[in-house]
Amino acid sequence: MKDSIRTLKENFFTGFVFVSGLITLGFLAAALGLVTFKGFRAVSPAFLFTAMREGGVSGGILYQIAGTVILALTTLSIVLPIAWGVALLRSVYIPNTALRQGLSFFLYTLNGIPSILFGIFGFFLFVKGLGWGKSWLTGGILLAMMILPAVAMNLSEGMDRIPKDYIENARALGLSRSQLIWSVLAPQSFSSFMSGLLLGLGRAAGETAPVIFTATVFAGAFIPKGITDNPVLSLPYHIFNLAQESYQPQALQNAWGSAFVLIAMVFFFNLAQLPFRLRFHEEAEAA
Amino acid sequence: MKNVILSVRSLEVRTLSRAILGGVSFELQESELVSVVGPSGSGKSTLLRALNRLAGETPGLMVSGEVLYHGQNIFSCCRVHELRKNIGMLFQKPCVYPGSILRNVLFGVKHHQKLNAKLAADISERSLRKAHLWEEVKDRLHHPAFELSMGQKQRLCFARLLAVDPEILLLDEPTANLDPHSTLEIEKTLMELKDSKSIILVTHLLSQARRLSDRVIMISAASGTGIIVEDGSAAEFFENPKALETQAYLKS
Repeated sequence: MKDSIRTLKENFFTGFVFVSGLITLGFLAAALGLVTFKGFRAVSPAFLFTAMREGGVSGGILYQIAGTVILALTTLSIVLPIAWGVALLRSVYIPNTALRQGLSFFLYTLNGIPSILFGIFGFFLFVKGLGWGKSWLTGGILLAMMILPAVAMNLSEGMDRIPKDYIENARALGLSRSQLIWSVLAPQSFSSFMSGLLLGLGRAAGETAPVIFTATVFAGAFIPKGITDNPVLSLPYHIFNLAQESYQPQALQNAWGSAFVLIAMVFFFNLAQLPFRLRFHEEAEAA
Repeated sequence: MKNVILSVRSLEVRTLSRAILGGVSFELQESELVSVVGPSGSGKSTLLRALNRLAGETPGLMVSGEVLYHGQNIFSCCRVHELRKNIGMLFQKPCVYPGSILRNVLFGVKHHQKLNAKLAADISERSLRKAHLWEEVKDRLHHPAFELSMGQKQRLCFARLLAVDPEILLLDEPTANLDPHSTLEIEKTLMELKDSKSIILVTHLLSQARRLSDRVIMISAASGTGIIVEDGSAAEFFENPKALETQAYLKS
């Protein structure tokens, strides 16, 4: 009797685990499949390499792609040094465990702030307060703030996973703290940094809320020539607007096409981080 | 009479709840090899780690007392990385960094002096020869260090330490996990280095201490805190030990 109850529990648990996995995979596959099926037909060289016309109903998405790339690169340039600084602060410069936990809590909390709040904050600080108007730089700063916690925590946790022997041996050989950082911590945590960064960029590229009031417009922007009052077009905002025009079949078609390109970009960022993550696992095993 | 290079006075290492080492005092002369023996958990490794200030950086450990290096207290005299350039340490478990054998040999020294290709090659060869590893790796210096056996890795770590050229070597059971061949090679290195370096060797192998040492220190933690119970020449230590703990330890 006891054995049969145990077998029943075992089977129930195994079934639950598999169903959970299937539900998650099913949602992902359905979303990706739908966007690919609907969007792939809209994508052509002309769609990718020409500017939009008639409010996006015809033409392509060249400047939306360019704007998204500009925002992503700006985000990258801002988040890169700051994430290193925060991660080093947490992993190296703060010896006190309580302070480290406090910083981690702060970063996790920051990571949980809804993206629209970043948008509102940026609108009042940069657009209104500093008088920048809508600017690609504001968008980059806000997206960097948004992904900073994830990138910094990923990096810092990567540093924490570095074998303690590496650090102790380097110290025993007389390396100073900065030499230790450059010779051991930076190269050994590079993989986790890149994976965190590329995952963060994937998220940033797909965000609408932080840039909608601060950095992007629907039409009338090209490649920015300055900082203030120089918005860009972006794919997420473009999709948002075309979706509102979806009663027109061509607008809907272009929305699906834009969504497909955006997903391809995010997928590329996710794919690009894989070798770094795999390298990290290999090194951890070799150590 | 040789010069005293390191003078340890009333050194104490403790946690919040107990003293690991209490009132340890001894001296190390130049070109002298002192072995530190004693039961597991008596604080031998902690002693070594205190002598190059690694213990003081370990969360939860507090170090007090004086360690005079050339007459200057290491806890206040100088920057810690400069101290460790002169008081280097080799650990029980070999730790090689990702990358080639050559990169590993030069890992420490490249941070202390500017190296051109010739100097780097000279230092690498000299250090690997001293560590008795050169003949085994001279044709594969650019191969990954991970490919080496455990014994070779430990000798590589030794070569890496020797490349920095510290005046004092702190060796924490460097042959504990090694095969007899690698143990013999490291002992050969130590015999050759005795004339030019001051060495403190923590070992569990009494035969090794007898073979290599000028002096032997016995640490006992019978009371819960590691203290020195015997400090004498190797001959005295093994032939005529005075402390009861030493006599018991030698019989065990």
